[in-house]
Amino acid sequence: MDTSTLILDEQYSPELEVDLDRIGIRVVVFSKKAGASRSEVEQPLDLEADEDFSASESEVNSYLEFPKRGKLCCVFLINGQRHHGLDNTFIVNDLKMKYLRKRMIIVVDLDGLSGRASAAMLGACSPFSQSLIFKKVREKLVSTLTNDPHLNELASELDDEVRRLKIANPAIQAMFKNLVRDNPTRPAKQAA
Amino acid sequence: MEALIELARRRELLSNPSSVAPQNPREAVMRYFSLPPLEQIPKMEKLIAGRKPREHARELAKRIRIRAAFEKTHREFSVSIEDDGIGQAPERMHETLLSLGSSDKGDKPYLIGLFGQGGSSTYAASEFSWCISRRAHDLLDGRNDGVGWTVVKQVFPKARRDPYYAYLAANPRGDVPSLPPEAADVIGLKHGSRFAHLKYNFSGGGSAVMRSLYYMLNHILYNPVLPFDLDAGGTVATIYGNGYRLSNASVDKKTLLDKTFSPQTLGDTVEMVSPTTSN
Repeated sequence: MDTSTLILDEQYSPELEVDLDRIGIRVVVFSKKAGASRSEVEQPLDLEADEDFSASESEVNSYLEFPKRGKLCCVFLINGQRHHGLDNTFIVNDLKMKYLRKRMIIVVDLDGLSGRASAAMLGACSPFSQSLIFKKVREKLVSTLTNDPHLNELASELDDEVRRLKIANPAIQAMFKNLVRDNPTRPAKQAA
Repeated sequence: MEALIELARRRELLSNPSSVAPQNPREAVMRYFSLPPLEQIPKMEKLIAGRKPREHARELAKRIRIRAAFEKTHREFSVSIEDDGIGQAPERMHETLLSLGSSDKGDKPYLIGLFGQGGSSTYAASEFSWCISRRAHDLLDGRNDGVGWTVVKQVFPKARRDPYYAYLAANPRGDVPSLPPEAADVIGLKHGSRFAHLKYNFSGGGSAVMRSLYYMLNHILYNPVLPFDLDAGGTVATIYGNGYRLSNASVDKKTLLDKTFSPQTLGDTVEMVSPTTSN
């Protein structure tokens, strides 16, 4: 018969409060490339967030690890090294700046985090992206960028531009239809 | 990068034993190499050490060299990394450069690595690695000058499900073989370390890896504390990181906005709940 007695059966869940301190944020928005590629022009003007982004060229391609589909256009750095990144769905869904998604790079510098916060981040078993610290960082990032007057101005300028294009499109299409209708007999040139 | 910083720090301690250590890698690089964060370089006009900032950074980059090659017939990669840093004495190579999971950096806030899994994890991605190292002559700490060398090899025994990694040792203590200092002088190795990883596993890809290496390294090391030279299949470039490249684009007026926000305070505290334990 087992006579051993259980002398301790206790669950520990200590809560530690950690001062997070500060983060640095840099945002870069590129001008539209002169002479955008054909596929860029053919892109739907109003892609939804969950749509599969085209692999066409964008202004920020050469600044991405994987140029296609806006991978990791938002990066989180410690000592200048990338520890995490978000793709451009962050710009569309969280920042609500979908027309900047192919022209914007966001760099978040986490060197200013307190020692304990960064140690908890680096030494944790679970991914940084699932940590409470990351949640706080992300919230701060979103609030900083969405409240920035420069970015908001750029985003609304682009919104207006797209709206104008949308309005202009039917007019241009009608003009082309009229041209074709008025010149029905002209044969198309064969490609050489 | 750390080997260069540590070399400068140890020399500083030689001349002033009571000097306070830099509190982070950026501070160390600024103190020892007069180098600000690389993203600031393109916008700087003030000379650094009598040179234009770009030239200064370019010169520093020569102290760390990475070379990658792809052999098309057998579809094999090799990667070599060289630094002109502090180096290691042969007697200590197995405790440092060859060790896994141990670290002597815990009390050095000016270094980056901490868990002893950075450089040494590259062995697991290679079938063979060779390493040579020579300690800076003024920092031998009583040990003999010379070049330590060894080969790390992946061993996959029969009836095992996993490989292990073994290095060539010269004696039961685990010391690596060594050569006299003259051997190092012949190849111009004054101090520092050289690694070559053969049959390096890039997880697939071929020539495309070579073409994308420049972009990958600039992205992974987004704003490195020190720049370095890259030779990817004969194409030579200096890696300054994307932070630097973005500033270049800004200077070249390719951007509508390049804004660095003042440091954003996260404000409150976060509660970190440790995993529940039972005893």
